Amino acid sequence: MSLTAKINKSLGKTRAKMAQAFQAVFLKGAAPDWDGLEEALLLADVGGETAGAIVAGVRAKKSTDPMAALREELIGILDLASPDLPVKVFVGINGSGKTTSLGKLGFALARAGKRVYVIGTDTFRAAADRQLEQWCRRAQIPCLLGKAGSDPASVLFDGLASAEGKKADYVLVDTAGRLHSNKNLMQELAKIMGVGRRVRPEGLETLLTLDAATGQNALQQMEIFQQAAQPSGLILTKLDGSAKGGIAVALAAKYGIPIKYVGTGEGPADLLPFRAQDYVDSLLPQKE
Amino acid sequence: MIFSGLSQRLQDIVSKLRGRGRLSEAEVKDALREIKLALLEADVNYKVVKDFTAKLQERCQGAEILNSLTPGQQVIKIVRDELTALLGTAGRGLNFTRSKSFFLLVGLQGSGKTTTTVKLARSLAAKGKRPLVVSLDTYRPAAIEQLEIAAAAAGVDCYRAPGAEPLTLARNALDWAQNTPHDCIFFDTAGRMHLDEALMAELVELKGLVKPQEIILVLDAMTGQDAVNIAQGFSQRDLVDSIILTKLDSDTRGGAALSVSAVTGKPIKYVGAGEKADQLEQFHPDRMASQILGMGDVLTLIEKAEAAFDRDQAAKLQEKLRKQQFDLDDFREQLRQFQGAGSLSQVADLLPGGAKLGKMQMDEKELRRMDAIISSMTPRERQAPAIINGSRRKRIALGSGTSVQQVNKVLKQFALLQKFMKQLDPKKAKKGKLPFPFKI
Repeated sequence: MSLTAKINKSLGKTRAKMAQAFQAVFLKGAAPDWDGLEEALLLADVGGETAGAIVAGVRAKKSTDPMAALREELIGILDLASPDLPVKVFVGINGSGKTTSLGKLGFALARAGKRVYVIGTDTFRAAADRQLEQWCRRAQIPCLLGKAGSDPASVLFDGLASAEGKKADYVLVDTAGRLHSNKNLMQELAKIMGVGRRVRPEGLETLLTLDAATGQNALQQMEIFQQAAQPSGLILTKLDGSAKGGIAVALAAKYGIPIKYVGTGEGPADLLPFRAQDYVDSLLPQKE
Repeated sequence: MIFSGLSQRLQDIVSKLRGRGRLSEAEVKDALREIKLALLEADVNYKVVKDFTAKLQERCQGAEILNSLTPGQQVIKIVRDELTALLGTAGRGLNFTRSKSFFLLVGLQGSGKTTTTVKLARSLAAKGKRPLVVSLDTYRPAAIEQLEIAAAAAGVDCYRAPGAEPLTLARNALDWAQNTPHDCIFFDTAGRMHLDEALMAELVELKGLVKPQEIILVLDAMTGQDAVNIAQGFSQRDLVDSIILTKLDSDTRGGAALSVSAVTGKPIKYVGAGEKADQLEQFHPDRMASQILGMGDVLTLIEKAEAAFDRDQAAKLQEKLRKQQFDLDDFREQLRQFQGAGSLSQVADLLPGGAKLGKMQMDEKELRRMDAIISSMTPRERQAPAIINGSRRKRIALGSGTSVQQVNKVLKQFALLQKFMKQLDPKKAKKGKLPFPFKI
């Protein structure tokens, strides 16, 4: 199932409402309702600054088909890419969906015939290791899971060594959820990343998981996670809810960070590579 | 960052409104536009913002402006009062029945249900209740273990109910708990999207089976515009009795709180602020309102200062200032008023020309120390500080449990203040516009 179809299916009524809001902005024969467009964007969590910039961008195009211009503008913002690197460290705030996304990605990679290795460095949250263990067992992926209370950076160090020995194509690293406002935990993350980048100076990327329902606070999250872990991509999770994840548009516009995957459920197959075209199509009314 | 300018922008608008008895329509509009932006940037739902500002406009235009406040601050005060009212009342705990009370914790994936379940149980155990926690999350891997481990770490009883699906687990747990001394039983349910018809139907069934005292919706405080849809999704099926906001230890402005209050009309009872089991706090609508507006300190200070400030004393003091008879007794009086109002450097920001005083960097502790030092002086010393010589300083230091250096510091600060006051324009003083004590 394509991303658009999947999101459409899960969004159902909400999506229709959303599309209506955009549709109402550009009524045939009437002048475009620019305030209405801004409102629709704000309701999707795009945020004031980016919404204003998008409206200005679409207006500047002076197109006879403003809906197409909007589509173009959004795709222009979201069509970003970063290389697919073998070591992927999953970071993000609590409950954003790190472990679930990692499990799903591991599942997909293993199914595609890749040799995957998983390292669990969440030694803090209760039963975090068991949650990850169940995912790995389901996907039959070897893993190294840090014991509760042990130092996450050293777990990563050991894990990377053992992944090397196992000649893994992909190494997926789970980290504990942490709020960006917690200085100590962000320092811990910087240390983990330091170890990771020292052992694998090339070929390591950080993926920031972001709940699609997150509001403007995601900008602060990004700012601070960037300092500690320099994420190269986003995983937009829980897109099967009514949230549109518009905040990812703001992040893409402001930081040029690509969305790499989207999560649409709790099943192993509910993770899809992101395509700007599909996502924008799911946001806007269908082409006539 | 994006938000840092917001408080300043509001202040700017507000300061333009200074000195009029009544606000013009255009002024109110300007202020309301900034407030609207502030609310949107705080993630309050757009539609909620629209309704809210419409209501505000009415109130602001009719409002008499109190003498004690500049009109602008009066506007903010109205905003804050309205926000607070919409956010409900503070400090309400859970509802209990006499024998056994049951609670369901529901919400989206990752909103913090399991952590909150343990926190709630722990806080009630500390109040002499006998809580029990039971996980009904058969979906997410290791969810049941997570609750078990977290409960054990917090010293809370946890029952691992047998069964493969939530309803069976709940039924078994209800049976089991019948003969135990537990008086409040918390069911931690699986995270679910409000759009997931099957899982929402399951929740309705669970409600019918458990007959909970309260269904508690757990909501991530960082949620954006969608908070309205989430709240609607649960409340339409009658699955919300109260709300707990989580992850408030992030720097989120938490506009979602307003959205859910507006949509459900249900009380927010607690807020979670940390991963540890004791980090659950009672909900304070006034604090939340300030946080949403992004000007917490200033708003709190307006109130604190209003409460702490004794108008009669102020009049007397103005008279003294005019005659330049300000002595250490008056200084101490001022210090005591500041103690009621919060940290001095914050108060200083509110004072016209207060930036100078703010540099003194005094906190509450410091204020108390200064108070002690001045109180250790004789009445004559307080009226004529010039007579305080070396041996008097030593005595004062001993009497107040401080050092001579600290006594010197207080005297120096007093001298500075005296000098500052002498610079004040006496003409302004007659108009009652003396910048000190603080005129808000």
